[in-house]
Amino acid sequence: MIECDGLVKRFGAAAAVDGVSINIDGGICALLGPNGAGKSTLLSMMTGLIAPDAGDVQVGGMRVAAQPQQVKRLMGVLPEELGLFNALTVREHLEMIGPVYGLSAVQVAERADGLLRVLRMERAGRTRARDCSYGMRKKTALAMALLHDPRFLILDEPFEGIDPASSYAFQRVLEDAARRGVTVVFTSHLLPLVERLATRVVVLNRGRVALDSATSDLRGSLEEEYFEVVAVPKYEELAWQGS
Amino acid sequence: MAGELERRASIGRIAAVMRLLVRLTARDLKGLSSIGLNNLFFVVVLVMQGSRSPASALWAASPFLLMLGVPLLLTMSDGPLKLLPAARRSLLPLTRNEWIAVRVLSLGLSPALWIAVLLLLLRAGAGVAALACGAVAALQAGSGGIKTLAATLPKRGGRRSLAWPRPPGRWGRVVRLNLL
Repeated sequence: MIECDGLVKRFGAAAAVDGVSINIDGGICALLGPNGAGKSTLLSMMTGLIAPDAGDVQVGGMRVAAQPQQVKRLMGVLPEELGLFNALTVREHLEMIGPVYGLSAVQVAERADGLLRVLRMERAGRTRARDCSYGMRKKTALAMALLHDPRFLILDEPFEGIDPASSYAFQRVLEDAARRGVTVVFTSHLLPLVERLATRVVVLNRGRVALDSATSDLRGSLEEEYFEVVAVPKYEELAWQGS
Repeated sequence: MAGELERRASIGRIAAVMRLLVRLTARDLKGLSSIGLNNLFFVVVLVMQGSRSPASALWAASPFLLMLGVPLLLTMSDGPLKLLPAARRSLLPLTRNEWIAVRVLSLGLSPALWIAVLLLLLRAGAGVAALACGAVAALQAGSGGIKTLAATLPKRGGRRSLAWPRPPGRWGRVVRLNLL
């Protein structure tokens, strides 16, 4: 279970996250919201990458602030910046990171084969990260998050920038993981995908929870609910276009 | 038994990060970018090389060494760890002590240290070279210890700081403005 209690994070005078309290117990939870709503900041506090100014986070019964290393061992994280090593090949990323989580060379080789196959990267295995496209880089970081079979998956925009086939395969991977009891939390702007995949949606707006609901309990479509709690999109014609 | 298992796991994590750093350093060396050091380091190197007598080389460079020694040593020996992107480094499940061990061990991967040790060996002998290595290792371990200590300090205004005493009066104001 991931328990966030009264989380606050300020950058200067602005509160990126302003008193967020949510408990996520299994399933696939999508964090939604406009740019700057505080989604990535909230994920960073869940993973211990940044410390909250107020409030507390517990993951698997452990306080992130008190036991960050133990919590990190339970988590697979896709960070916003991906955190890849440009000089290493895609496969080397997995071979080098696996032992840090206590995996043997045989385990890493077996898991790397499977992950590269599922994410359609068998041929890219020998390509260095610096030569990969953005989508390939993201898939490499996703494979790193999954490699040690974590109990919690915390993913920042995992589906943005990857091809539809890989996205579909990765959605199945997350569904399988959730069925096995893994708690999945991810951010996204792809509302139709979220509506299909997530079992729960939390919409943040200006650092606060604007909507927290099981996907099955939504009154209308997710898109309708989202625009209702965030803002109805406005369109204004730009007079100078085509002039 | 549990303690022994944890100790082995801890050594395993340190070894895994060191293997990663060795691979990254090897790739980095192919591009020679790791030699791109602080220019002041080269000033010290040139002053030491410029001295005709090996015995006076250290004396000739001593003002620079004194002035630049600590920051240079820190800059030099932090090199291999800089190859780990910050986002990934902060996700790796190593304890503070394990990171201190990695910091100290990674000194052996610093090309700057290789050059410095080679120069010291040639110019000042094995004793001084060993002393310099010890100083770098001590500084790295010390800086890791300071970070550990700083992490235990209470937070004020979002930053960790020591609660310094605030001297009163006009002279106290001068002290507060200039020193605290």
